[in-house]
Amino acid sequence: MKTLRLTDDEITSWRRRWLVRGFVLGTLAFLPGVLLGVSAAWVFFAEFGPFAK
Amino acid sequence: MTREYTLDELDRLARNRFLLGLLGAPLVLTLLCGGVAFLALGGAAKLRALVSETERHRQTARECRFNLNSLRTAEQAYNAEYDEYVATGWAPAEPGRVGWDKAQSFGMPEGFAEVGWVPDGRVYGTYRVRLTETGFEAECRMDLDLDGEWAIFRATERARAERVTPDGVF
Repeated sequence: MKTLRLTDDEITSWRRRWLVRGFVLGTLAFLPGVLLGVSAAWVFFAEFGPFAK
Repeated sequence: MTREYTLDELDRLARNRFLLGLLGAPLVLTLLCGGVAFLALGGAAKLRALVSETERHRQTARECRFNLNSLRTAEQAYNAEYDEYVATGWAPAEPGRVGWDKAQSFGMPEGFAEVGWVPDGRVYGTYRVRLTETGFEAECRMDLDLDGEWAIFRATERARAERVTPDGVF
């Protein structure tokens, strides 16, 4: 089985790098969802809400 | 310090951190957006106003204790000289259904003038001295939050001023 010899610093930066990647992807996935949800709610209430023209 | 890692181990470490970031991002963003919205809607100001209002009430309520002790001393001094206590009516005003949150001018009401005691400046509370069998009872009432529930403080010839109503009543 192939193994790699890594220092503590290297393994820490490896972990951090993947944490940052996850965070970035999570943010990118989350924001459009929020925007979409807010826009959908806005349109819904504008069209069918109590103050719809 | 170095250690041997298999590729599987590295893969597992990476996956764990990646998932943590992926799931943590919405949480952090929600808290951040919530915080910003809270500030934008003036929540912080309201919270601060609420806290400082309670603190302001607490500070103001000290007036009652301070003035009652001073009034008590004046009554005792009067008693030492004339061997009697002096009753007074409510001053500056009779406590009605609801109090006031602005300081009132005390003036020089009859009983108080006789004892020779008036508070220093305007007052938030209203004061009265009632004669009892053993001596007198001085009372201060205050309704700073205008909820109709008066904070009551009492002092007698034997005891210094004490709050009668619970601590949260202002």
